[in-house]
Amino acid sequence: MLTSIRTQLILVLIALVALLLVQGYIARENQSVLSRGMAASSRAVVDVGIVKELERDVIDLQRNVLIYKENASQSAVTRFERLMLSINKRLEELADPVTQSGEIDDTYVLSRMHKHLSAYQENFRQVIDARSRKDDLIIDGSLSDLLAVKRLFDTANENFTLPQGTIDKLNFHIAMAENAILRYLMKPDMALITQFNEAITAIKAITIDNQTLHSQVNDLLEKAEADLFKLTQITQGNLFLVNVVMAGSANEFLYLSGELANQVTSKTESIAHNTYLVAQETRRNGEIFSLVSILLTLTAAIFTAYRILGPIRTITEVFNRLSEGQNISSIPGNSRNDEIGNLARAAHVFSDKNKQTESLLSEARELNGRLASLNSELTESKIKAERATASKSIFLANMSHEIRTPMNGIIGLIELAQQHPVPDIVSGYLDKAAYSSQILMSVINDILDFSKIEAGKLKIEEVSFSLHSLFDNLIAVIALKAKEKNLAVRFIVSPSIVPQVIGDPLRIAQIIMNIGSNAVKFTEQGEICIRFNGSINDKGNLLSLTMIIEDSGIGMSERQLARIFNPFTQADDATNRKYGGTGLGLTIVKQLTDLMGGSLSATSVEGKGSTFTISLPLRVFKNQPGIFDLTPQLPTSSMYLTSSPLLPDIYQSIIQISQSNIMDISAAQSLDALPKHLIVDIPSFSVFKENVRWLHELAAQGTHVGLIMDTVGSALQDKYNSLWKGPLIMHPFTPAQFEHFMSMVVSNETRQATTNSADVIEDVSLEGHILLVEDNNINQIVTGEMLKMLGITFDIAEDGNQAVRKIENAPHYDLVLMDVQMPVMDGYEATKALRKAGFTTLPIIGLSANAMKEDKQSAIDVGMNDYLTKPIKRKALVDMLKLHMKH
Amino acid sequence: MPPSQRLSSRPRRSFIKGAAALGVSAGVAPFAIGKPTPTLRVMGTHVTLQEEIRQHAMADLGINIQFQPGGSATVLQRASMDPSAFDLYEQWSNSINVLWRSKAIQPIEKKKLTYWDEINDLTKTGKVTEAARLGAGDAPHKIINVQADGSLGVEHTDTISFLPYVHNVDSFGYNTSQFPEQLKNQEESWGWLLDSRLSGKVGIVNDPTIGLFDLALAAQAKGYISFENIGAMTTQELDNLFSILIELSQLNHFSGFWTSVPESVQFMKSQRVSIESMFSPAVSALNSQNIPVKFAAPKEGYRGWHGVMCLSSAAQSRSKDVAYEYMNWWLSGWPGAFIARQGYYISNPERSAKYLSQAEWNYWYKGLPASESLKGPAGKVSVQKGEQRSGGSYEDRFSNIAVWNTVMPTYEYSLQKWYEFITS
Repeated sequence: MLTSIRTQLILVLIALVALLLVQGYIARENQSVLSRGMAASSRAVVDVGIVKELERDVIDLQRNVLIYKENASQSAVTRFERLMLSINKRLEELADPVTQSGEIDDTYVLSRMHKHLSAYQENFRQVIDARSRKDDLIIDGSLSDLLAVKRLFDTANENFTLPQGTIDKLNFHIAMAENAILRYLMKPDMALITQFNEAITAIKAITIDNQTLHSQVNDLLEKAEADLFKLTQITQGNLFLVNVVMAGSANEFLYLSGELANQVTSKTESIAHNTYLVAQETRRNGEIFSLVSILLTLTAAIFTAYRILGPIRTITEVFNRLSEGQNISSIPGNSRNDEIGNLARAAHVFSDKNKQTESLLSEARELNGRLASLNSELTESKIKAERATASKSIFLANMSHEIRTPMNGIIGLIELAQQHPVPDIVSGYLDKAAYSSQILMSVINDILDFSKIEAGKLKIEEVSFSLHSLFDNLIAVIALKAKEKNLAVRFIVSPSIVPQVIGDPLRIAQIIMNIGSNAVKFTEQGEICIRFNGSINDKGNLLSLTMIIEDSGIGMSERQLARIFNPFTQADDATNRKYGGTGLGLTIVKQLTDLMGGSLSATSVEGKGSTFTISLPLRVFKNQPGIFDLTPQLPTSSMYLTSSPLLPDIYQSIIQISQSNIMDISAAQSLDALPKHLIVDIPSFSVFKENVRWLHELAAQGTHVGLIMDTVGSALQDKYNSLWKGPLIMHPFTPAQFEHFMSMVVSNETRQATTNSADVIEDVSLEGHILLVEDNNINQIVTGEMLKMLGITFDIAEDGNQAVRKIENAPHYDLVLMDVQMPVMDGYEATKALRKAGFTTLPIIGLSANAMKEDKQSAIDVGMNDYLTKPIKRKALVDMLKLHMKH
Repeated sequence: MPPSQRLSSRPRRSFIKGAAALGVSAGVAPFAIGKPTPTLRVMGTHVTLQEEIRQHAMADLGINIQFQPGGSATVLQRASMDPSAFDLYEQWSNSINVLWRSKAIQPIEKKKLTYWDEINDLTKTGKVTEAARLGAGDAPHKIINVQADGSLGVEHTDTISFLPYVHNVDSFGYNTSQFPEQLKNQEESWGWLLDSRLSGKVGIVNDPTIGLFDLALAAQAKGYISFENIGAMTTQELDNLFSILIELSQLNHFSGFWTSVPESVQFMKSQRVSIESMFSPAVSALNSQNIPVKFAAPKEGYRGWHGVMCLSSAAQSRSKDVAYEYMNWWLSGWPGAFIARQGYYISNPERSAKYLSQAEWNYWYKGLPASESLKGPAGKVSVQKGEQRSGGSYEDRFSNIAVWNTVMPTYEYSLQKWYEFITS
């Protein structure tokens, strides 16, 4: 606690404030003591004055008492009373606790003074009272009594003469008594009373004959005695009161007033002395406190300077230096426990941080450098990558060109070779070579497609096409492959699908083909079912086409299933080894589906088979008829003879076969009468052989009989075809084939003998002279051979430059077949030059191994009339030539 | 004239309290039905008109008692002028002449006093012991007996002027801590009052009938003057005496003249005086305040005083009977014991002895050292164990009376001279 500078400063401040307060208090006390002393002193002066006045008044009192005693002056009494009032007032003033400068002793003195004073007053009243009684007694007392006695004797003397001696004695004694009284009045003395008493006794001793007179005189004498006794009593009392009691009171009063004056004076002195002492002490205390304050302030200042300001300045300098980034070797005050210590430690931390910051900064710089180099490396890498990508694209394009060009040669030559009669064994080799070439081309195409998709260069076409053709191609490919493995294929199309849609037929076909091919590829036995479902939206302009390909193949595990859409990945390596393939198929399918805004999902049970579901949104034309709308329906009585229907339920309902009309073929044979239309399932050749006779009989009787067969190999198919001429359909079949089949059943036609026109090479003969611009010798030979076989003559130009010169030199060509990729001058340049040179009407057909779509567009852009992709197919060439050559 | 006016302020307070109690007891007085409870009116000074005594008497006698205490001069004046104002009058022997001559009091019949025979010889022969000296002045035995001619004298008759009861001897007191060593070693003497070594430290009671004798004894002891009869000084003797006193007074020998017992206590307590005329209660009061005041037993003898209880000349029949009952009660023992604890004596001490412990009796009457701490009337210890009264036993003290408080023939003159003296 105390180690904190804050606390220390607060303590110092508190001490200073306390000192100030104490000093203030002392000054205040000093002042109040002084003012009290002053007040007491001035009060004491007043008190002393009052006491002196008291003394004067008391002496005046005594004077007046004496005056009264002497002549009973009423004015003395008045004066006495007034003095009394004034004295009492002064005593009260002195006793007033507010103005009283004295203490308990004084009040005791004062109370005694009061007592004496009131006693004095009381006694004076008695004196007055006694004086009046004394005056009464002087008038009506002993003297008048004696006078009365004298008169009595005078009267008696007049009435009856008394002896002169008696009269004289009487007068003498009365005179003696009167003398005693008067002298007593002048100066009280017991001897005079004795004289009086003796005189009275003497008077009493005078014998008086007259009894009445005697008793009267005696009474009067008695009264005179009593009156004198009273007089003496009053006189004594008065004397006692005045001379003893009152004088004593006055004495004591004066003594007490002197005491009071002394007390007041001594008190004043002591107050003054005390005041002086207190003032001195206060001054001394004040000085001490001032000294202490100054010392403390100095100490505080020194403390502040040495303990706080100095260190703070030092620390500030340290911080300044730190902020300037200078290195601090040692920091002062580090070991202190207070705020300075904290500051020093903070400075230390700051310094450490500075060092850390510096090292961090250098590290950061280093890192930055590294980052910059990394960045540049990255940029370089990016550029490299971009270059690589570009190179890859170029490479791919080149590859496509470079591979296709020889492949074209190979395929073309094989095709040409096959058209010549060769031994069977050679023909077999050629077939295998052709097959291998086809596989190689498809691999190349896959890689190319993938590259294009990866490069974002693949464009989805939006063209109107018929699903029928898609189905035909699909069936042709899938069925062919399935038949080779004796797999049953079911192809089921929902009637809700409309035939004409807008989209990219090639890519859709590619998707279906790919998945269908996979299904076949990974299925060893069982069947493959391909379903087309679809629903048209409420507006009727969008078909959500769902394609479900279900197989009973090897299936996949969950893990495998999760990986199948990744590029270059098959279910696993073992699969790859066993089944081959690039692993790009499903990746391409997935990417194409995504590009078309559709979705692709797969479920699989290992060992049981897989199901792939593709959904594609396709725009459709409104108000189209359904795909089965044209399929004829059977009369309701028609029967479907089967034990296990090969015809899907949905197809049954399309042709109006009800469940009640389905029965076993043997059951049908036992029927008496059969309907006019019969659909019969032939699940196997044995069933066919058993029933063919009966079926022929029925047909002969005019019954319309249509046979539905499972997928069979081409050999068995030929057998069926030869043994049954009536309507016949085999799985898989397209809606169009089904429609055709049903039409035959309804119309009861027999099939014409069909020939495989595809296998017969059309013998085409054309006339014309064309320029073949081709740098590759093999391709010159292949294309040239095709042209020769078509009966067309041609010149060859090795590059664009030659082509332009030849045409300019001999402008008699009917058409130019222009390879686009050539040395010296490519096809585009040559075309541009030719068009520029005025050969605007000369048909120029571009030839390119580059399968990319934009190549065709580029060709059109530079002025070419059309475009053929290598390897050039004979048919495509014929069509192209027929189209552009003038006949 | 009175030996002490306004003796104590405490009894006055007690009286006020008692007056209130009187009202209560008046309402529940157990007196005979149909006969009003009689009220006894007692006039006098605070010395004997104490509230405890009144309460005790009322309880013992079944009567109402009214105390009318006052200053000596005042009550004497009233009593002598108007006997109907009181039934009993209690004061000092020096007032008896005034009362008797003014016929304010009537003779008391000895036969009605139950304990007359027990009353000691002080008021009968004037001597408590064979060897006792007769004090000068108005010794009580000279003024108690109603003579055949109606005057008061020594001849015993059937009637007396006052009931003898409370009495004591007085002298001076001095503060031993403020006293010159030389004097301390000397035998105590009245002369100390005029000793120059105590000049300015002397206090005298302001009463010529008392203080004058203190001073006269002092002057005589000092050898300044001798009196033919100190109890009856002549004018010349007074002139001589006062010329000395006035001379001393003008030399500020006397510090003050006190008029009441509390004042005398104050004089000594404040060290205004080191020696002064004193009454016994003042000495007790100072001693109880640990002020070492010694009540002197002067070699010249004491100044004696005797209390008087007088029957009003106006008291007749019932009130007279009640007055006699009260007089008899006073000598019945308890009151004597009560005042004994204040240092006073009763005229029939044997009867009071049974109301005192042996220690009290030994201390107060026998003059022996206190065998135990003794309590005063208020129940507070006033005498510490081992203390001893100065002057010895009752007999010792009353055998050594130099002069009685007296109203001399030259009384009026002495008053004049006293005035000159104290105002000089």
